[in-house]
Amino acid sequence: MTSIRVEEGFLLGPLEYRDALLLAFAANGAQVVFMDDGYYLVLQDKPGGSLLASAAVLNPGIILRRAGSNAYERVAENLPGEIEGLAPCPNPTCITNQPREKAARRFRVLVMEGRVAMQCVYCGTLIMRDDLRRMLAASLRVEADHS
Amino acid sequence: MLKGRDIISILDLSREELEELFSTARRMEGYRGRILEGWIVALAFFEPSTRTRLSFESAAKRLGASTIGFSSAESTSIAKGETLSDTVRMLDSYADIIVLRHRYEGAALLAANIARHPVINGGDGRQHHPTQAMIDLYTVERIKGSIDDLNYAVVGDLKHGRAASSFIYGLTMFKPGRIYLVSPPSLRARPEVIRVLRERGVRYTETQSLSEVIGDVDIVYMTRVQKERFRSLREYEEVKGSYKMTLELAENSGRDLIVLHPLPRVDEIDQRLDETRYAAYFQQAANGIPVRMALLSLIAGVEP
Repeated sequence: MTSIRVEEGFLLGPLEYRDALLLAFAANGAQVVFMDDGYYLVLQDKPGGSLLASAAVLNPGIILRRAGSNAYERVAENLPGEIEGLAPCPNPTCITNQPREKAARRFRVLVMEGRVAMQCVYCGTLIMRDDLRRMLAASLRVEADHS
Repeated sequence: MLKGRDIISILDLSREELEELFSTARRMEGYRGRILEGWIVALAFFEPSTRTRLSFESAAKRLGASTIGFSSAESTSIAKGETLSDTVRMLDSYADIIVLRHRYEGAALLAANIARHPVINGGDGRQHHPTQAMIDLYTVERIKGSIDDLNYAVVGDLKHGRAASSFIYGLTMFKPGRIYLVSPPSLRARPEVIRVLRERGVRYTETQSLSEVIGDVDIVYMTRVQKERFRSLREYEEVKGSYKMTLELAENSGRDLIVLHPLPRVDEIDQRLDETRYAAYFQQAANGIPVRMALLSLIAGVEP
Protein backbone atom coordinates (compact mmCIF):
# COMPACT_ATOMS: atom_id res chain seq x y z
CA MET A 1 0.00 0.00 0.00
CA THR A 2 1.12 3.48 -0.68
CA SER A 3 2.19 5.38 2.32
CA ILE A 4 1.19 8.99 2.57
CA ARG A 5 3.50 11.21 4.50
CA VAL A 6 1.70 14.07 6.03
CA GLU A 7 2.90 17.23 7.64
CA GLU A 8 1.56 17.84 11.16
CA GLY A 9 -0.10 14.49 11.50
CA PHE A 10 0.41 10.80 11.23
CA LEU A 11 -0.98 8.02 9.22
CA LEU A 12 -3.17 5.16 10.29
CA GLY A 13 -4.48 2.57 7.92
CA PRO A 14 -5.96 0.68 6.31
CA LEU A 15 -9.21 0.88 8.22
CA GLU A 16 -12.70 -0.37 7.88
CA TYR A 17 -14.99 2.38 6.71
CA ARG A 18 -16.96 2.33 9.96
CA ASP A 19 -13.84 2.56 12.10
CA ALA A 20 -12.48 5.36 9.99
CA LEU A 21 -15.65 7.33 10.55
CA LEU A 22 -15.60 6.67 14.27
CA LEU A 23 -12.00 7.74 14.49
CA ALA A 24 -12.76 10.88 12.61
CA PHE A 25 -15.54 11.57 15.09
CA ALA A 26 -13.17 11.02 17.94
CA ALA A 27 -10.35 13.17 16.67
CA ASN A 28 -11.64 16.62 16.10
CA GLY A 29 -10.56 17.98 12.77
CA ALA A 30 -9.33 14.68 11.41
CA GLN A 31 -9.66 13.94 7.79
CA VAL A 32 -10.17 10.54 6.29
CA VAL A 33 -8.45 10.15 2.97
CA PHE A 34 -10.31 7.70 0.82
CA MET A 35 -8.25 5.30 -1.27
CA ASP A 36 -9.38 2.62 -3.69
CA ASP A 37 -8.02 -0.09 -1.43
CA GLY A 38 -9.28 1.15 1.89
CA TYR A 39 -9.47 4.17 4.09
CA TYR A 40 -6.60 6.03 5.64
CA LEU A 41 -6.99 8.32 8.52
CA VAL A 42 -4.76 11.32 8.94
CA LEU A 43 -4.93 12.99 12.32
CA GLN A 44 -4.32 16.67 12.20
CA ASP A 45 -2.11 18.11 14.86
CA LYS A 46 -2.74 21.82 14.83
CA PRO A 47 -5.94 23.74 14.35
CA GLY A 48 -5.69 25.65 11.14
CA GLY A 49 -2.90 23.40 9.87
CA SER A 50 -2.10 22.97 6.25
CA LEU A 51 -4.47 20.12 5.50
CA LEU A 52 -7.80 21.37 6.63
CA ALA A 53 -9.57 24.64 6.48
CA SER A 54 -9.69 26.11 9.97
CA ALA A 55 -13.47 26.14 9.84
CA ALA A 56 -13.44 22.38 9.57
CA VAL A 57 -11.17 22.06 12.55
CA LEU A 58 -13.21 24.34 14.72
CA ASN A 59 -16.47 22.70 13.81
CA PRO A 60 -16.50 19.05 14.92
CA GLY A 61 -17.79 16.73 12.29
CA ILE A 62 -16.47 14.34 9.74
CA ILE A 63 -14.53 15.58 6.78
CA LEU A 64 -13.69 13.24 3.94
CA ARG A 65 -11.33 13.82 1.08
CA ARG A 66 -11.36 11.36 -1.73
CA ALA A 67 -8.12 10.25 -3.32
CA GLY A 68 -7.15 12.28 -6.31
CA SER A 69 -9.34 15.13 -5.29
CA ASN A 70 -8.56 18.30 -3.45
CA ALA A 71 -12.15 18.87 -2.39
CA TYR A 72 -13.27 18.25 1.17
CA GLU A 73 -16.61 16.65 1.74
CA ARG A 74 -18.52 17.05 4.98
CA VAL A 75 -20.32 13.79 5.55
CA ALA A 76 -21.63 14.39 9.05
CA GLU A 77 -22.47 17.66 10.70
CA ASN A 78 -22.84 16.54 14.25
CA LEU A 79 -21.01 14.31 16.60
CA PRO A 80 -22.79 11.18 17.77
CA GLY A 81 -23.78 11.12 21.43
CA GLU A 82 -22.17 7.75 21.91
CA ILE A 83 -20.05 5.35 19.92
CA GLU A 84 -19.59 1.66 20.47
CA GLY A 85 -16.88 -0.88 19.82
CA LEU A 86 -14.18 1.59 18.92
CA ALA A 87 -11.14 0.61 20.96
CA PRO A 88 -10.29 -0.76 24.37
CA CYS A 89 -10.75 1.65 27.25
CA PRO A 90 -7.29 2.83 28.42
CA ASN A 91 -8.18 2.05 32.04
CA PRO A 92 -6.89 -1.49 32.74
CA THR A 93 -9.33 -1.99 35.63
CA CYS A 94 -12.37 -1.06 33.55
CA ILE A 95 -14.86 -3.94 33.42
CA THR A 96 -14.77 -3.75 29.60
CA ASN A 97 -11.10 -4.80 29.69
CA GLN A 98 -11.82 -8.03 31.53
CA PRO A 99 -11.62 -10.58 28.72
CA ARG A 100 -14.23 -12.97 30.09
CA GLU A 101 -16.85 -10.32 30.79
CA LYS A 102 -18.92 -9.43 27.78
CA ALA A 103 -19.27 -5.71 28.32
CA ALA A 104 -19.46 -3.80 25.04
CA ARG A 105 -17.04 -0.91 24.74
CA ARG A 106 -19.08 2.24 24.73
CA PHE A 107 -17.93 5.84 24.85
CA ARG A 108 -19.77 9.11 25.23
CA VAL A 109 -18.55 11.69 22.75
CA LEU A 110 -17.95 15.08 24.36
CA VAL A 111 -16.67 18.41 23.23
CA MET A 112 -14.41 19.96 25.85
CA GLU A 113 -12.80 23.33 25.29
CA GLY A 114 -13.49 23.03 21.59
CA ARG A 115 -11.96 19.59 21.21
CA VAL A 116 -13.48 16.19 21.03
CA ALA A 117 -12.98 13.87 23.98
CA MET A 118 -14.51 10.57 24.91
CA GLN A 119 -15.67 9.13 28.18
CA CYS A 120 -15.99 5.42 28.86
CA VAL A 121 -19.61 4.74 29.72
CA TYR A 122 -18.59 2.01 32.16
CA CYS A 123 -15.63 3.34 34.12
CA GLY A 124 -16.07 7.06 33.50
CA THR A 125 -12.48 7.52 32.34
CA LEU A 126 -12.15 10.70 30.36
CA ILE A 127 -9.99 10.30 27.28
CA MET A 128 -8.60 13.53 25.95
CA ARG A 129 -6.42 14.53 23.10
CA ASP A 130 -3.09 12.73 23.42
CA ASP A 131 -4.53 9.78 25.28
CA LEU A 132 -7.23 9.48 22.66
CA ARG A 133 -4.65 9.40 19.92
CA ARG A 134 -2.51 6.82 21.71
CA MET A 135 -5.52 4.67 22.45
CA LEU A 136 -6.75 4.72 18.88
CA ALA A 137 -3.32 4.07 17.42
CA ALA A 138 -2.68 1.17 19.77
CA SER A 139 -6.07 -0.37 19.13
CA LEU A 140 -5.58 -0.40 15.40
CA ARG A 141 -2.13 -2.01 15.59
CA VAL A 142 -0.91 -0.04 12.61
CA GLU A 143 2.43 1.47 11.94
CA ALA A 144 1.93 5.08 12.76
CA ASP A 145 4.03 7.22 10.50
CA HIS A 146 4.89 10.09 12.78
CA SER A 147 6.01 13.19 11.04
CA MET B 1 -39.45 8.35 41.84
CA LEU B 2 -36.80 5.79 42.70
CA LYS B 3 -39.06 2.75 42.41
CA GLY B 4 -37.39 -0.01 40.40
CA ARG B 5 -34.33 2.13 39.64
CA ASP B 6 -30.70 1.05 39.45
CA ILE B 7 -28.36 3.18 41.58
CA ILE B 8 -24.98 3.19 39.85
CA SER B 9 -23.77 6.74 40.46
CA ILE B 10 -25.05 9.55 42.65
CA LEU B 11 -25.11 11.57 39.45
CA ASP B 12 -28.05 9.41 38.36
CA LEU B 13 -30.22 11.11 41.00
CA SER B 14 -31.69 14.58 40.95
CA ARG B 15 -31.64 16.99 43.87
CA GLU B 16 -35.36 16.36 44.37
CA GLU B 17 -34.77 12.62 44.55
CA LEU B 18 -31.99 13.08 47.09
CA GLU B 19 -34.23 15.34 49.19
CA GLU B 20 -36.99 12.72 49.05
CA LEU B 21 -34.44 10.12 50.15
CA PHE B 22 -33.32 12.30 53.06
CA SER B 23 -36.86 12.97 54.27
CA THR B 24 -37.58 9.23 54.11
CA ALA B 25 -34.34 8.55 56.01
CA ARG B 26 -35.51 10.90 58.76
CA ARG B 27 -38.61 8.75 59.17
CA MET B 28 -36.46 5.63 59.17
CA GLU B 29 -34.40 6.70 62.18
CA GLY B 30 -35.40 4.23 64.87
CA TYR B 31 -37.95 2.52 62.59
CA ARG B 32 -38.53 -1.23 62.89
CA GLY B 33 -41.16 -2.80 60.67
CA ARG B 34 -42.15 -5.45 58.16
CA ILE B 35 -42.77 -3.29 55.09
CA LEU B 36 -40.33 -5.36 53.02
CA GLU B 37 -41.44 -8.72 54.36
CA GLY B 38 -40.98 -11.38 51.68
CA TRP B 39 -38.30 -9.34 49.87
CA ILE B 40 -34.83 -10.76 49.42
CA VAL B 41 -31.82 -8.47 49.12
CA ALA B 42 -28.66 -10.02 47.64
CA LEU B 43 -25.43 -8.65 49.08
CA ALA B 44 -22.82 -9.53 46.48
CA PHE B 45 -19.51 -8.28 47.84
CA PHE B 46 -16.66 -9.37 45.61
CA GLU B 47 -14.40 -7.07 47.62
CA PRO B 48 -13.99 -6.84 51.37
CA SER B 49 -16.39 -4.54 53.17
CA THR B 50 -17.41 -4.10 56.77
CA ARG B 51 -19.58 -1.01 57.08
CA THR B 52 -21.32 -1.06 53.73
CA ARG B 53 -22.21 -4.75 53.80
CA LEU B 54 -23.26 -4.88 57.44
CA SER B 55 -25.29 -1.69 57.27
CA PHE B 56 -27.11 -2.88 54.13
CA GLU B 57 -27.81 -6.16 55.89
CA SER B 58 -29.03 -4.38 59.00
CA ALA B 59 -31.12 -1.94 56.95
CA ALA B 60 -32.78 -4.76 55.02
CA LYS B 61 -33.57 -6.71 58.17
CA ARG B 62 -35.01 -3.70 59.97
CA LEU B 63 -37.47 -3.43 57.10
CA GLY B 64 -38.39 -7.10 57.38
CA ALA B 65 -36.46 -8.25 54.29
CA SER B 66 -34.14 -11.25 54.17
CA THR B 67 -30.61 -11.16 52.86
CA ILE B 68 -28.46 -13.61 50.93
CA GLY B 69 -24.95 -13.14 49.65
CA PHE B 70 -21.24 -13.43 50.10
CA SER B 71 -18.43 -11.22 51.32
CA SER B 72 -15.48 -12.13 49.12
CA ALA B 73 -14.86 -13.45 45.64
CA GLU B 74 -12.88 -16.36 47.09
CA SER B 75 -15.97 -17.82 48.70
CA THR B 76 -17.96 -17.95 45.47
CA SER B 77 -17.93 -19.74 42.17
CA ILE B 78 -15.99 -16.71 40.83
CA ALA B 79 -13.01 -18.49 42.36
CA LYS B 80 -13.87 -21.42 40.08
CA GLY B 81 -13.84 -19.15 37.06
CA GLU B 82 -17.45 -17.97 36.84
CA THR B 83 -17.89 -14.58 35.22
CA LEU B 84 -19.51 -11.64 36.98
CA SER B 85 -22.24 -11.74 34.33
CA ASP B 86 -23.19 -15.32 35.17
CA THR B 87 -23.11 -14.65 38.90
CA VAL B 88 -25.43 -11.67 38.39
CA ARG B 89 -27.87 -13.76 36.34
CA MET B 90 -27.99 -16.25 39.19
CA LEU B 91 -28.49 -13.57 41.84
CA ASP B 92 -31.16 -11.94 39.71
CA SER B 93 -33.23 -15.09 39.88
CA TYR B 94 -32.74 -15.46 43.64
CA ALA B 95 -33.29 -11.89 44.88
CA ASP B 96 -35.44 -8.78 44.43
CA ILE B 97 -32.67 -6.20 44.85
CA ILE B 98 -28.94 -6.73 44.26
CA VAL B 99 -26.27 -4.74 46.12
CA LEU B 100 -22.92 -5.23 44.45
CA ARG B 101 -19.35 -4.28 45.28
CA HIS B 102 -16.56 -5.11 42.85
CA ARG B 103 -12.95 -4.13 42.27
CA TYR B 104 -13.46 -3.22 38.62
CA GLU B 105 -14.90 0.12 37.56
CA GLY B 106 -18.13 -0.35 35.64
CA ALA B 107 -19.00 -3.70 37.24
CA ALA B 108 -22.23 -2.37 38.75
CA LEU B 109 -23.35 -0.91 35.43
CA LEU B 110 -22.65 -4.20 33.71
CA ALA B 111 -24.68 -5.98 36.39
CA ALA B 112 -27.53 -3.50 35.97
CA ASN B 113 -27.54 -4.09 32.22
CA ILE B 114 -27.92 -7.82 32.84
CA ALA B 115 -30.26 -7.98 35.84
CA ARG B 116 -34.00 -7.44 35.64
CA HIS B 117 -34.08 -6.44 39.28
CA PRO B 118 -32.63 -3.17 40.59
CA VAL B 119 -28.87 -3.06 41.20
CA ILE B 120 -27.35 -0.80 43.85
CA ASN B 121 -23.67 -0.03 43.45
CA GLY B 122 -21.90 -0.72 46.74
CA GLY B 123 -18.61 0.53 45.28
CA ASP B 124 -16.96 -0.20 41.93
CA GLY B 125 -13.19 0.13 41.91
CA ARG B 126 -12.13 3.73 42.28
CA GLN B 127 -15.20 5.09 40.54
CA HIS B 128 -18.48 5.34 42.45
CA HIS B 129 -19.83 4.73 45.93
CA PRO B 130 -23.23 6.39 45.66
CA THR B 131 -24.76 5.20 48.93
CA GLN B 132 -21.74 6.50 50.88
CA ALA B 133 -22.24 9.90 49.28
CA MET B 134 -25.94 9.81 50.22
CA ILE B 135 -24.98 9.12 53.84
CA ASP B 136 -22.35 11.89 53.80
CA LEU B 137 -24.75 14.47 52.41
CA TYR B 138 -27.49 13.37 54.80
CA THR B 139 -25.08 13.80 57.72
CA VAL B 140 -24.23 17.34 56.62
CA GLU B 141 -27.91 18.19 56.30
CA ARG B 142 -28.75 16.68 59.70
CA ILE B 143 -26.01 18.60 61.49
CA LYS B 144 -25.88 21.86 59.56
CA GLY B 145 -29.51 22.03 58.46
CA SER B 146 -28.54 22.50 54.81
CA ILE B 147 -25.98 21.37 52.25
CA ASP B 148 -26.11 24.65 50.33
CA ASP B 149 -23.86 27.66 50.90
CA LEU B 150 -21.28 25.81 52.98
CA ASN B 151 -17.59 25.55 52.17
CA TYR B 152 -16.12 22.08 51.92
CA ALA B 153 -12.60 20.67 52.00
CA VAL B 154 -12.28 17.18 50.54
CA VAL B 155 -8.92 15.89 51.68
CA GLY B 156 -6.64 13.00 50.79
CA ASP B 157 -6.39 10.65 47.84
CA LEU B 158 -8.86 12.22 45.44
CA LYS B 159 -7.56 10.20 42.50
CA HIS B 160 -8.31 6.68 43.72
CA GLY B 161 -10.85 7.31 46.47
CA ARG B 162 -14.36 6.45 45.31
CA ALA B 163 -15.98 7.89 48.45
CA ALA B 164 -14.29 11.26 47.90
CA SER B 165 -15.23 11.35 44.21
CA SER B 166 -18.83 10.40 44.95
CA PHE B 167 -19.08 13.03 47.69
CA ILE B 168 -17.82 15.69 45.26
CA TYR B 169 -20.32 14.50 42.64
CA GLY B 170 -23.08 14.61 45.25
CA LEU B 171 -22.21 18.18 46.21
CA THR B 172 -22.71 19.25 42.59
CA MET B 173 -26.43 18.46 43.01
CA PHE B 174 -26.58 21.27 45.58
CA LYS B 175 -25.19 24.77 45.81
CA PRO B 176 -22.00 24.57 47.87
CA GLY B 177 -20.18 27.84 48.48
CA ARG B 178 -16.77 26.49 47.50
CA ILE B 179 -15.11 23.08 47.44
CA TYR B 180 -11.42 22.88 48.29
CA LEU B 181 -9.83 19.80 46.77
CA VAL B 182 -6.88 19.12 49.07
CA SER B 183 -4.41 16.51 47.88
CA PRO B 184 -0.79 15.91 46.89
CA PRO B 185 -0.24 16.73 43.20
CA SER B 186 -0.02 13.06 42.26
CA LEU B 187 -3.36 12.26 43.87
CA ARG B 188 -5.49 15.09 42.49
CA ALA B 189 -9.13 14.57 41.51
CA ARG B 190 -9.54 12.76 38.20
CA PRO B 191 -10.32 14.78 35.04
CA GLU B 192 -13.87 13.40 34.85
CA VAL B 193 -14.59 14.69 38.35
CA ILE B 194 -13.20 18.14 37.53
CA ARG B 195 -15.27 18.18 34.36
CA VAL B 196 -18.50 17.73 36.33
CA LEU B 197 -17.53 20.56 38.69
CA ARG B 198 -16.84 22.85 35.75
CA GLU B 199 -19.95 21.90 33.83
CA ARG B 200 -22.16 22.52 36.82
CA GLY B 201 -20.52 25.81 37.65
CA VAL B 202 -19.37 24.73 41.12
CA ARG B 203 -16.63 26.93 42.56
CA TYR B 204 -13.62 24.85 43.49
CA THR B 205 -9.95 25.28 44.34
CA GLU B 206 -7.25 22.64 44.09
CA THR B 207 -4.65 22.95 46.82
CA GLN B 208 -2.01 20.90 48.61
CA SER B 209 -2.41 22.25 52.11
CA LEU B 210 -5.34 21.81 54.46
CA SER B 211 -3.97 24.32 56.97
CA GLU B 212 -4.04 27.07 54.34
CA VAL B 213 -7.76 26.70 53.70
CA ILE B 214 -9.11 25.48 57.04
CA GLY B 215 -10.08 29.00 58.09
CA ASP B 216 -12.61 29.13 55.26
CA VAL B 217 -14.16 25.68 55.67
CA ASP B 218 -17.38 24.40 57.29
CA ILE B 219 -17.06 20.71 56.42
CA VAL B 220 -13.80 18.76 56.32
CA TYR B 221 -14.15 15.47 54.47
CA MET B 222 -11.09 13.40 55.33
CA THR B 223 -9.99 10.31 53.41
CA ARG B 224 -7.00 8.13 53.77
CA VAL B 225 -3.79 8.87 51.87
CA GLN B 226 -2.37 5.45 51.24
CA LYS B 227 1.39 5.15 51.50
CA GLU B 228 1.51 2.67 48.63
CA ARG B 229 0.12 5.25 46.19
CA PHE B 230 3.33 7.32 46.34
CA ARG B 231 6.27 6.87 44.05
CA SER B 232 8.70 7.05 46.97
CA LEU B 233 8.59 6.86 50.74
CA ARG B 234 10.26 10.27 50.87
CA GLU B 235 7.47 11.84 48.86
CA TYR B 236 4.95 10.32 51.26
CA GLU B 237 6.83 11.51 54.34
CA GLU B 238 6.93 15.03 52.92
CA VAL B 239 3.20 15.37 52.54
CA LYS B 240 1.57 13.07 55.06
CA GLY B 241 1.37 15.74 57.78
CA SER B 242 -0.63 17.96 55.44
CA TYR B 243 -3.40 15.42 55.37
CA LYS B 244 -3.94 14.92 59.05
CA MET B 245 -6.82 16.56 60.87
CA THR B 246 -5.61 17.55 64.31
CA LEU B 247 -7.42 19.04 67.28
CA GLU B 248 -5.22 22.13 67.04
CA LEU B 249 -6.12 22.62 63.39
CA ALA B 250 -9.82 22.42 64.24
CA GLU B 251 -9.54 24.75 67.22
CA ASN B 252 -7.39 27.30 65.42
CA SER B 253 -9.69 27.39 62.40
CA GLY B 254 -12.06 29.79 64.12
CA ARG B 255 -14.90 27.94 62.39
CA ASP B 256 -17.81 25.89 63.60
CA LEU B 257 -16.62 23.06 61.41
CA ILE B 258 -17.40 19.36 61.39
CA VAL B 259 -15.17 16.51 60.26
CA LEU B 260 -16.49 13.65 58.14
CA HIS B 261 -14.68 10.45 57.18
CA PRO B 262 -16.10 7.44 55.31
CA LEU B 263 -14.02 5.18 57.59
CA PRO B 264 -12.01 3.09 58.21
CA ARG B 265 -9.44 5.65 59.26
CA VAL B 266 -5.81 4.99 60.03
CA ASP B 267 -4.08 8.04 61.45
CA GLU B 268 -5.47 10.88 59.35
CA ILE B 269 -7.75 12.05 62.17
CA ASP B 270 -6.35 12.86 65.59
CA GLN B 271 -8.19 10.62 68.08
CA ARG B 272 -8.45 13.58 70.44
CA LEU B 273 -11.12 14.89 68.06
CA ASP B 274 -13.37 11.91 68.75
CA GLU B 275 -15.08 13.34 71.81
CA THR B 276 -15.37 16.89 70.49
CA ARG B 277 -18.15 18.71 68.64
CA TYR B 278 -15.99 18.55 65.51
CA ALA B 279 -16.31 14.78 65.15
CA ALA B 280 -19.20 13.82 62.89
CA TYR B 281 -17.75 10.58 61.53
CA PHE B 282 -19.37 8.23 64.02
CA GLN B 283 -22.77 9.81 63.46
CA GLN B 284 -22.03 9.54 59.74
CA ALA B 285 -21.40 5.79 60.09
CA ALA B 286 -24.61 5.39 62.11
CA ASN B 287 -26.56 7.26 59.42
CA GLY B 288 -25.74 4.40 57.07
CA ILE B 289 -28.69 2.48 58.46
CA PRO B 290 -31.58 4.97 57.99
CA VAL B 291 -30.26 6.16 54.63
CA ARG B 292 -29.91 2.62 53.28
CA MET B 293 -33.31 1.70 54.74
CA ALA B 294 -34.80 4.69 52.93
CA LEU B 295 -33.09 3.74 49.68
CA LEU B 296 -34.25 0.12 49.82
CA SER B 297 -37.83 1.12 50.61
CA LEU B 298 -37.98 3.76 47.86
CA ILE B 299 -36.55 1.35 45.29
CA ALA B 300 -39.07 -1.26 46.41
CA GLY B 301 -41.81 1.37 46.17
CA VAL B 302 -42.99 0.66 49.70
CA GLU B 303 -42.91 3.44 52.27
CA PRO B 304 -43.46 3.27 56.02
